[in-house]
Formats: sequence, structure tokens, C-alpha cells
Amino acid sequence: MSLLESHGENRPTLESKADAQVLNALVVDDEPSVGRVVQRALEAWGHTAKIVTDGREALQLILKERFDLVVTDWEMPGIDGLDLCRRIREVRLPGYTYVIMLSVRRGKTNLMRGLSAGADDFMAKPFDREELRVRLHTAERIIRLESKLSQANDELRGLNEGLLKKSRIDPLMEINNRLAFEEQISQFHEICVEREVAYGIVMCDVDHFKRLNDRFGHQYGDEVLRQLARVIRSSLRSEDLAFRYGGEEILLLLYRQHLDGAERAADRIRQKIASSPFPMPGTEMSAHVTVSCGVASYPENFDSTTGWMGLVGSADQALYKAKNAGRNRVMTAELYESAAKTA
Amino acid sequence: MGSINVERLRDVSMEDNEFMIELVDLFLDDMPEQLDRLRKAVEQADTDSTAKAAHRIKGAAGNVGADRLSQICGELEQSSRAAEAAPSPAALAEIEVEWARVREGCGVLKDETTSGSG
Repeated sequence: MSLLESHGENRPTLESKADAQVLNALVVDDEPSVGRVVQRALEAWGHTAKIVTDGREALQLILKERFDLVVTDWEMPGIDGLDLCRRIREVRLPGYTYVIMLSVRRGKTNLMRGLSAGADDFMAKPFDREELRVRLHTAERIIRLESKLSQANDELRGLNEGLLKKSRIDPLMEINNRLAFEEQISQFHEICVEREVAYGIVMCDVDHFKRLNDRFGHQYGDEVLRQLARVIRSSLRSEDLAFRYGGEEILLLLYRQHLDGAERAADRIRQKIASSPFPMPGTEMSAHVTVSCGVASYPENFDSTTGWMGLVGSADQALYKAKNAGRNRVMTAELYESAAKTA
Repeated sequence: MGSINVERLRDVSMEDNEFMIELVDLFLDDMPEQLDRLRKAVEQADTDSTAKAAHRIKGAAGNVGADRLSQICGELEQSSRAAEAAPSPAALAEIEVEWARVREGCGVLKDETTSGSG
């Protein structure tokens, strides 16, 4: 019984409360009694309202504090209502500012001037409280929509950024993928050229990976790649980059490394992998995994006619040599001698 | 108290006597300065300033229900804007007379309101 009663009494007020918005309003009018009447009405409906008596003061306050609603007079000394509207639209305020212009001016031309200046609504003076009350319904609806829209926008932007990041990371190895490489390499190359800094490209390929997959299954193959990436990531400095370039192929960009330095770094990684255990989950077994590496560097192997693509090709050829020479080793690309070629 | 539309004043005051007196006081405090501007403008035969000053009084008067004052100020604003002629001292005199009535009306209204509620 008491439950029903409270239900019947509370429901409508609860709903209207959920609907009601408290607006932070600014009333701008050079006639103090008019401003006060508007402020009082807004406060009576549960909103908060401040009064200022000219456009300049209004503008200063608007830049400091967020207002959902501005009710402004048209004719004021200094910055008038039209100017105020234009400035409010010019400065990019966070959130939407709904502007109602109040004026003794009548007629379509004046209405259009007010709206073109950026007012959302236009009300004739003398001020009519009931009229403002009804017009506020529209204002509230638009303010609510605007805030929902900007919220949705923020969420979308966040999602987008997340997706952009995700789409450039290999989910298995948790390093950059081929797409990221295509996007970053030319910029990386240009930065190194501009700063006159060397860099090495290491092409690194798992030896007999197909055999490993065939013998122990693809799940284990994936586990090997995961573990391999962990070893490589832990061997790199923060200024180096690792990309999953192909199926079992990883490309490294080593900043500030000449050919010999890049070769040593590649060999350290090769040794580390060869001595790392690759345990098979649920068993005592662990496969012996090795990699072969081909190394090229800027400027030692650089040919300006083929650019960074030529360097990737040279590293790839060096990798091919390493495979042919018996695997589990590092080979460097042939030195590019521009003097010899041009001669 | 024909000079004041009490119904309008009660309405904008939301039937709150205290607030009504506050509004009337705001209006009474504001008016002398505005009338001074108007007098000077008419004296100097400055049509633009006359229109602006008359406009300002029109709005303030309309707000508190001084309908006739609002109306004759509106007429002076119109004729000055149209620049048909230099602002006429006769129009100003009419406004002065109406203002005196409005001021008196406001006084009576305040007395009645305070004694009625007290």
C-alpha cells in the first residue's frame, strides 16, 4: 500500500527531474530592471543566472566561464547584442552556447539580422516570461543534443585513435606490422639523411620455420614467433624499431648504426635466439630455433637512385646469402661504391 | 495610478511584492540618468542621440509597465530616427510630464504594497 502510494507520487517528479537541465545562464542588458526580471525568471525555473550590463563585460565573462545560455539585449552601448553574438560564434568555446536575443525591434528584417549574427532565437520586448519559458524548451533540447553529439564525437575520436594504433601492430608478435613500416620508413630515412646519421636495416628470418610448423603444429609455430619477438624487443634500444615484415620475417631499423655496428647488433640477437629455450607448452620439450640475418646500412650500401627501397633489397639479398651459407648466421650486403660506378 | 500598468508589473514580479519593489527601485534609480541624456540630446538637436536615449527609456519603462511613457518615447525615437525634424522640445515636455506621473505612481504603488503586506 505504502509502496503503491510512493510510486504514484514520485514517478512524475522523478521523470521531470531526469528531464530537467540546470542551465548556467548569462543575462546581458543595459537596463538593470530588465536584466533582473530575466534573471529572476530563470532562477525560478531552477537555472543559475548572472547579469552583466554591457557586451564587453559579457564577452570577458564568457571567455572565463562556461554558459549554456546567453540572453542578450540588442541595443547596448559599446559591444551590442549583434556584435556579442558574432564574437561568441567566432571564439571556439567548449560546448554549445545558446543565444536568445531580446529586443524591442520587430519585423522580419531585424529577426533575420539577429539570426544571421549567430543568435539561436529572437524574442520581442517587453519581456514576456511565459514566452521565454516555452522558448527555453527548444533551447534545452538543442543544448542537450549538442552535448550528446560532442560526447559521441569524443568517444568516436578516441575509438578511432585506438583503431589506428591497433591496425599498425601485429597482434601475435606485438610489434609494428608491415603497414606501419610502409608508413614510417620514408620519414625515418629522411630524418637520418637530414641529421647525417647512419642507420642499419636488418632482415631477420626464422630458419626452417615451415618444418617447425609441420612437425609441431601451427600453435607451437605461433608460440615460437611470440617468444622470438620478446627476445628481439628486449635486445633493442628505444630508438630502434622492429616490424613484422612477412610471415616469419622481422625487419629491424637500427638508428645511428653503421654497417659494422648493425652487423654486431644482429649477431648478438642471433646468438641470443640460438641460446634461448622455446618450450612447448604442456611438455618437457623445447625446439632449437635459429635465425638468419641480412644487414645493409645507410650510407654504406645506399644508392640514391633506388633509395631506402634499394637498402631493403640489399638486406634481403644478404639474408639470402646467409641462408645459402648454412643458416644461423649474419651476412652483410655488398658495399655500394658510387665512385666506382660513376667512373 | 493610470501611469503604471500594475498587471504587467505584478506579472514580471511573479507576484512577489518584495521583488516588485526591487524592480521599481531599479527603474527609479536608472531613470534620472537616462532622462538627462535625453534632455541633452534634445537640447543639442542631436537626432541620433535622441533616438538612442528615447529607445533606452522606452525599454526600461515598458518592462515595469509604464506603458504610456514607453509609448511616447517610442514615438520620439521613431521621428528622430526618420530625422523628419530636429527633436521637438514639445515631445520632451510631454515625456517629462508623463515621467512625473510615473514617478508618483511608483511611489503610491510602493506605499500600498508595503502597507498591504506589512
